[in-house]
Amino acid sequence: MKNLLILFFCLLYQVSWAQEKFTISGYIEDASTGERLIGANIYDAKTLKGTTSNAYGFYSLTLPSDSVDLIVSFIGYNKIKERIKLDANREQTFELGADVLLDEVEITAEEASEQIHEKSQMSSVSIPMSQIKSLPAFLGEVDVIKALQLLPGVQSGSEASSGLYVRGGGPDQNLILLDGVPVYNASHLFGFFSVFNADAINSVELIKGGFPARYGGRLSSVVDIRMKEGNNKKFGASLSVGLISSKLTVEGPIFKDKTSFILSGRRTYIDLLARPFILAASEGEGVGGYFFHDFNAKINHKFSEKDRLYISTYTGRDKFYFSQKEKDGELKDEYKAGLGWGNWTGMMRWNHVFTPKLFGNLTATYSSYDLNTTLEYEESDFDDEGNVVKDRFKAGYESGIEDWGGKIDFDYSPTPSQFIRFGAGVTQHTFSPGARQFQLSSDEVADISLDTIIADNEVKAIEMDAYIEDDIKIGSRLKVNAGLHFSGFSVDDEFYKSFQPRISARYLVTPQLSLKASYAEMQQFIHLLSNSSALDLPSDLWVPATGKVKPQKSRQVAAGLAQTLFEKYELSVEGYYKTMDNLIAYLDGASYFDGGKDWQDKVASGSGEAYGAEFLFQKKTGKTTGWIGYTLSWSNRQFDERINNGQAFPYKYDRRHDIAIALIHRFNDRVEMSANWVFGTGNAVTLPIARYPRAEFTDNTDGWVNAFGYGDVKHFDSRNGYRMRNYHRLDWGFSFFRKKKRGERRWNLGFYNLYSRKNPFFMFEDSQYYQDSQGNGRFRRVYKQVSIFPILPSFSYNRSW
Amino acid sequence: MKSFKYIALLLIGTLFFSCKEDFFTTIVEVELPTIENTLVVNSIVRADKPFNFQLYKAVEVLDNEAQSTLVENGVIEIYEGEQLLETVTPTTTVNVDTFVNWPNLDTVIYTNTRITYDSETIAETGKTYEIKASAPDFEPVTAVSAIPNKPVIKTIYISDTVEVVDFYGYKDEKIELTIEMEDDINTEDYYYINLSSKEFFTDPYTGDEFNYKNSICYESYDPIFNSVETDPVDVEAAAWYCGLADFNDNLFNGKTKKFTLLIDTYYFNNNYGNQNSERFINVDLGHTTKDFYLYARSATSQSWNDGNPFAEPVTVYSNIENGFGIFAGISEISITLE
Repeated sequence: MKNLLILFFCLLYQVSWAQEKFTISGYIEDASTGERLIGANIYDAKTLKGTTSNAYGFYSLTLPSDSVDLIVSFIGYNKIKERIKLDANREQTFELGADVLLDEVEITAEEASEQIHEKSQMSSVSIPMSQIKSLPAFLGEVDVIKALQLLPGVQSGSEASSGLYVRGGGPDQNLILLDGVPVYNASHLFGFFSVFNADAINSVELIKGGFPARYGGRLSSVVDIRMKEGNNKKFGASLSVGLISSKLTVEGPIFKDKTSFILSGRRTYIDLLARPFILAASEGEGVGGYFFHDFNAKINHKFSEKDRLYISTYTGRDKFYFSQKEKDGELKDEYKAGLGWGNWTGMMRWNHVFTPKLFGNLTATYSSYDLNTTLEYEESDFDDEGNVVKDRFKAGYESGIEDWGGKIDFDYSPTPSQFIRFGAGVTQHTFSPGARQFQLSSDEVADISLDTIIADNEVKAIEMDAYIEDDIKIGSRLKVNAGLHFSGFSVDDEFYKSFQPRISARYLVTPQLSLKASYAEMQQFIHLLSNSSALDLPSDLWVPATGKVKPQKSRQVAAGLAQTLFEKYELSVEGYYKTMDNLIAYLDGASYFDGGKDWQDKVASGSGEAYGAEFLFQKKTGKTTGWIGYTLSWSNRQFDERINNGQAFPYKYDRRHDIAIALIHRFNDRVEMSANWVFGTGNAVTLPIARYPRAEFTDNTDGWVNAFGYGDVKHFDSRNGYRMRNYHRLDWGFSFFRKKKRGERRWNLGFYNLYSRKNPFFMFEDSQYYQDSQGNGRFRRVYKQVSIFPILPSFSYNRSW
Repeated sequence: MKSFKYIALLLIGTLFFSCKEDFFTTIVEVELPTIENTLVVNSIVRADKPFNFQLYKAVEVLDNEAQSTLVENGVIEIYEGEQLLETVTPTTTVNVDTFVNWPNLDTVIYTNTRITYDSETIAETGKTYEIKASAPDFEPVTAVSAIPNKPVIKTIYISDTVEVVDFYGYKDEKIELTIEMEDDINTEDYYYINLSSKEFFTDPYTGDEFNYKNSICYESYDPIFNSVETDPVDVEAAAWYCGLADFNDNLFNGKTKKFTLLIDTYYFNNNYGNQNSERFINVDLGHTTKDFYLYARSATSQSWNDGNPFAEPVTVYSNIENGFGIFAGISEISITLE
């Protein structure tokens, strides 16, 4: 560790100044909206030294005093070439115009951004939002998480789920950041949709390994999602009407070029469409349904070229509800049930340019997730004297997690060859693993009166972290990103701390081919307690590491090669090996519904390993874009003897082969077609292989005693020892565009599961009635597979102004 | 507008096609490992009593036989160390009720004539026995179990009626049964408690005498019934049992342990005031092997969670080498409370 730090600081100060140098710095923006462009490329055509804009569109490039030929470019935009006399430090903002005529002005990937073989970062993929919006959408809902599932190394879980299972990790091991704020439950409707409204999203990046030191707190992936900032040039709006939901986004300047805002809302209306049918079916007495909504808002204000303030929030909620009223003369019975869950995040960030080379931001964050269920009824009856009396009952359950945090981050670019990031943060977590409330009262029986809350202890914990990382070029071929992440977690009387070294490097074998390798240690102080269920249930509990349940840890090593072919195609092949410790899982037979037992007594701790190889062939520019991804992987878990007799077993989402092909072709400026095809080895499930009679227990008088339960014993060979059928599916979509006097109109038509493949969702044992050869009615035991989505057509109408 | 009509027709047509009923549930063929002629031995051996065995053939899970096949031509050898004590062959024919679960149908109770294997050898406390079971066409199986010593009860008493507030806040009246027992510090010990009522009834008209035996349901807030861990935990909810409840000495190893069971006052009412009946409460405290404890816990849990899609599947413990089932010794003290 000591040697690593010495090496790091040597690299930091190794810069020798042979010639006077000056720094040009500023922002790279979209000319029409003022939106900051993340990851735009800027370089000097003479020296070929360059950099990319950071997450806030800021760049800093230090070059020798001279006249420099700067080229600024970004995918989907026309590049800017500008000759500048650099004889002093200089601030300059570049505004790139959108590339509206793709076939005439085709930007090559090389010019647009740092190419895959040049980056020291490995195991990282970003998909342009324009591509995500063009992919076929499930029920017409564009979903950033579902787009990420099409990448190698990412499994989707069950049918149509928006869960992420990255390199053998669990869904809790993904650090999903929305504007730098962790989002705990990123899915709606039991995982069928993600919480991210694509109309409000500016960029998405997925990191699966070789994690830069600035990220921490999760083992398996980072999904960094940035919201749009809002058009600071002119007002605009977009409306989307789809099969199950509608979206409206409004953005514009409050003070032109100074302050802008964006508001975006989405609501499903399955409940509104179904309401008349439910009322009719219940003869007007019942109302029920389900909906979810999201709301994103962001405002940013430019105080000066050096200071900028961002405030953003996201709130989203799912709600199931049912109520029924029955009336009989004076008597009235009323029943209500509800299930709701949702996230709320908030962020306030101050950007400040301290010097042309030093950029910093100070951020305050808030994130919460909660789940609540209610069941209540009021029943009336006549008492002995003919008066109407009522009994009332209400039961509720609540659980959740709430975070308040603050952090400070700096980007320092001393030379074009070096980019240093450092910072620190602290978060206070409040875990509420579960509170049950009961109320009972009766007009008739005075003794029956109850109002009580039974709650698991609320747990407060402090998580802190600090990091430093350096992205540095050493010579012309080697580029290294090395760093150290420290994290600490204080809970009850325990303090956990860890130093996590991170390093990734690339070595240019040829100008277009590089070898890459990385090593990363990660630690995670929170766990998600979930059952084996086909659905992503909102009842899964976020719980902290405690004295008894240790923090999760992982070590991942990866190596591979990356090549750019014909300037348009990117090819990467990677192999990885990851170990995970202190994972938790429910004991055999345990579930969320076991009331009254501490969650720590329902789980066992264990380890996991995941390894595999990933292949990605990608084309980001031109009329036809898309990728082909293939993953060969293994993921296993092993716990103590209380789970699977201590033997290792495949993880539920261990998937040996996973293929995804995504293609988008734009015929002209009016018609676009897209398709994706996915194939995955069947999910692992636990099925019994044999049955035999249960032992019987009689007492000393030969009386039968219920000691061992009822029915035959089912013998399971191994947990997750059987595979369901392979999964494959083709989705197809068309978009029809038309320029309008103001803005654009777009029709999307899509088909999910075009060839209506019966993909397995889950399996169950059943009895099937049949007649034998003598015509006698008999039963036979069978396994049945449930499939939930046949071919599903969808459409949506989008209009922007 | 014309193209819109075509699109609408296409969407409606596709929806109609997609909602075909046979899409959603399909019978699937599964290739599971085969179970070829695997013996099942079930034997709970009570101290100071002969050995009793049931021998079956395990069947594949999708086998359409309602029940596992009884093995009628098996042989079981009982050893103490190297010494063969007895070779047991089928001896007894009994009528038994067997519960068979058909998936997603009601449990079916079959009353069958069944052959059991009874020894003449008496199981003695403190001794360890090995059994070797075999039958034509089956791989032989083996198992080992000790017969534990009798548990030591220091005191046992019942209280007057007490008022308790349950998990949901309801007030109720219960009778407290308190048991004080001693535990050996040198061994890892496993126990069970079993409560039952025995009722003697005389028909006032015919003078015929009957007796009934029923399991008693009870609950306890003592952590020994709720936790398999060594650390004491806060127990919010009472553990609830009907019949047998097992526990271990993790929380009281080597100490005198006093615990209380809460029993409905109903069981102590003398058959609703019927003058012709008499009821006794029977308390059995058993000292068992770890094998018994693990089998009881896992088998009960599997039965309890059968069909629950949210619970993790439970593997039932077995100590039969090369086969399935359980061979475990117990030693019991029975006390009758009048």
